[in-house]
Amino acid sequence: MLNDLALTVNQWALKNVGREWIDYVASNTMNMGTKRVAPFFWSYECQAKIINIRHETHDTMTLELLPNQHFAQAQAGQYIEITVTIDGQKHTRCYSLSHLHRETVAVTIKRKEGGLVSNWLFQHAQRGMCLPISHPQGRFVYQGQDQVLMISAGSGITPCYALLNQLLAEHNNVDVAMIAQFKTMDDVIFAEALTTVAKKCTVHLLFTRAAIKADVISQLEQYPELLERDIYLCGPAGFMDKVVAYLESKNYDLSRLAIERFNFDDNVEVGEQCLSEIYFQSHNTTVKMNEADKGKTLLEIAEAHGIELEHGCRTGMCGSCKCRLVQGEVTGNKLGVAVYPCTAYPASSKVVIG
Amino acid sequence: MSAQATAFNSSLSISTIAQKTQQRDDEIYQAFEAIKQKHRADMGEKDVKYIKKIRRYSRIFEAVGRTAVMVLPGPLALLGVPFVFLHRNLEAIEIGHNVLHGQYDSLPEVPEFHSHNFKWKAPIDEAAWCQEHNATHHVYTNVFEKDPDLSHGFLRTSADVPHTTWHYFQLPFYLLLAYPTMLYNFNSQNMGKGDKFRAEKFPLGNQGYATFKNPEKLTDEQIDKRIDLSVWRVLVKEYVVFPALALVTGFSFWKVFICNVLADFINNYWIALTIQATHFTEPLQPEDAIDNKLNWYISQLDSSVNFKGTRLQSILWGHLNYQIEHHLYPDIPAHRYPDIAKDVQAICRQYNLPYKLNESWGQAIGKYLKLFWRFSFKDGKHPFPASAYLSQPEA
Repeated sequence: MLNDLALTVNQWALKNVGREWIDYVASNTMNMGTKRVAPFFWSYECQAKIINIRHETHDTMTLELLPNQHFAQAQAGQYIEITVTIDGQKHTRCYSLSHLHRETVAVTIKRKEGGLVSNWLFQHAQRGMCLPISHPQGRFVYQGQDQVLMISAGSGITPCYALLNQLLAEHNNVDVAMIAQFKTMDDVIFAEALTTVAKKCTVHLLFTRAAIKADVISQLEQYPELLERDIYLCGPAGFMDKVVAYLESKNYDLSRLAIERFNFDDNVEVGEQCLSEIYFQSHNTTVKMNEADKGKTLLEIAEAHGIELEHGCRTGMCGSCKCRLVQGEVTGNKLGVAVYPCTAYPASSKVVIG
Repeated sequence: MSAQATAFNSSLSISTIAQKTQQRDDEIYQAFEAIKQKHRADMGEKDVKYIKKIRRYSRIFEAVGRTAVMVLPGPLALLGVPFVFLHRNLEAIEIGHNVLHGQYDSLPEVPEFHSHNFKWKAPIDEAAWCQEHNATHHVYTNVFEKDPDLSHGFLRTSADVPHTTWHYFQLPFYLLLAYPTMLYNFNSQNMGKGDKFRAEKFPLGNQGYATFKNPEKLTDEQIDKRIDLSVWRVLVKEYVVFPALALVTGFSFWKVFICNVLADFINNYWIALTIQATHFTEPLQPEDAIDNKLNWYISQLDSSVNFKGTRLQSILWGHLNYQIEHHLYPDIPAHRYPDIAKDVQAICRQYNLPYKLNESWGQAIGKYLKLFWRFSFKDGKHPFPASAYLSQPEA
């Protein structure tokens, strides 16, 4: 009851007051009282409340999320990280956004066998629950092409589905087609919506375990004008490798291929020698280090990739550049949770700077 | 300078002297660095407790002050003004200024005192202030045409700044008009409004003044918006919300309004007199002072001056009376400065470095007002001429 009321108020505020004003008021009135009474807005963290849960198939569900004012504008095709706390341990997973609305976004989650976070969410997620989330990230977004083909398998359809909806809604002159592979008819995510979409564009559904087996490669074989289209590809690693190998054999220009791949590898490489992926939260930009960045400070790397970080003396003296280290390792000038980008070096495969 | 020294000391080669100088610079640098490392290693619970304690006092002063100005009848309400002042003063400098330097950024226990989260209870845009203050003033301290605080507004504090008619009136203008609204003028300085004024009114425009470089690449609309948002949050709280609260609870709107104006005025004047008393009288620094990391400590030491006060006074000055220590270590928590001062003084004695200290706040104020007066006139002479330590020939 109280929960529902809070949700309604939050939703109303985000819709009518707007993120910017909420941030202005909340950040300027942050104190022990406000933090306790309304922790959703009166918080320094980016977080979201679950406002709706919809079961898509027997093992997938869509969580509709209401992010608070800290959430940056999302683009179709991007993903967010969701953090859950299980037995006092924090676990973070990436989920592609499947729906984007003005105030809300949705993620569609597949229950993975033995998957810690997905299983926990299936058991515990409920309306009103508040979860820490990240800013929308990723470059699997529409690049303005005229002819587009989405290829997905299983839950890999989520970012493609968001892209498809964006294209149909905002770019009706774009020629878009989709090939989506599932195990059986019962596994089709967004089945109903896809039927509607199929009236406006070509949608091929393939089933790998149905009576009539279909294979993505044979589908691509028959596909007309495949080489003319820009391709967006998302699915399990094996599936994507197969498609990429096929496209290579057809001399497809791979620079026209966009791939969404989540790295679930928990073995984080540590050491100054690794080419890190550095996420600058304040700019919501990820930088992938190249060979030329080796030995450079965080500030120099950011500058080399066109990110302007606040800085002063560049020698670690004035403290103007101080940032928060959210994730990963750095060497050099750091103190507690603070790092000095002008005199600190990335030292793990993933570094997140707040 | 080494060439000059060799003339007197022909038995030593240039390289030996250069080596010796280099070695001495290294030693000085290491000695100052050791103090910093000692305090960085010690950061923790003590600092968390301190900043929370100051915030607690600020809240208590606020509660007492606001209640008193609202509830007490007639002139008795004035009894609340000092408490409102104490609250606003602690929030503005001992908490605000120091927190925005990132002095508490390393402590995960107090996210509310991290520089990127913190919102000032002062009419100043935080991000622009950090750029101007932390990244510019603290780096190019007392560097002509580079340190924006050296000649803010239309102030003339050195003979190098071109003289205009405006400057004849700088002393009364600042004392009567600028200081009572000091904090409300910060945004103009930090976001380039002052530059526009000088470009328009002065024949030589901004010559002699540091200009706004717009590091965040803000448009004019964004600048106006940032200024409005940072100022209105204070104006609305002080002059709308609390007076209106008095009105709806059956007390006087105007009594609260006037008391808040008074507290605001005292706070602005107090802070102006504090922050102005710490650099103007000291030598200008060579432009390339910070190109060499080893010069940082010496240049900062040479461009700042302390004034004496008790522990409690220091808190109300935001520990800015320990200006030397603050400029040596801008992001070490300020409450540690009195301790640090002892070590810094020892190093200065050992290496015969300048450590400048006024005996009282009054003396410091008197000195810089004298400087304002002198430079109101076209051919005014510096009352305390001294060349920068870094430009002096080796002793």
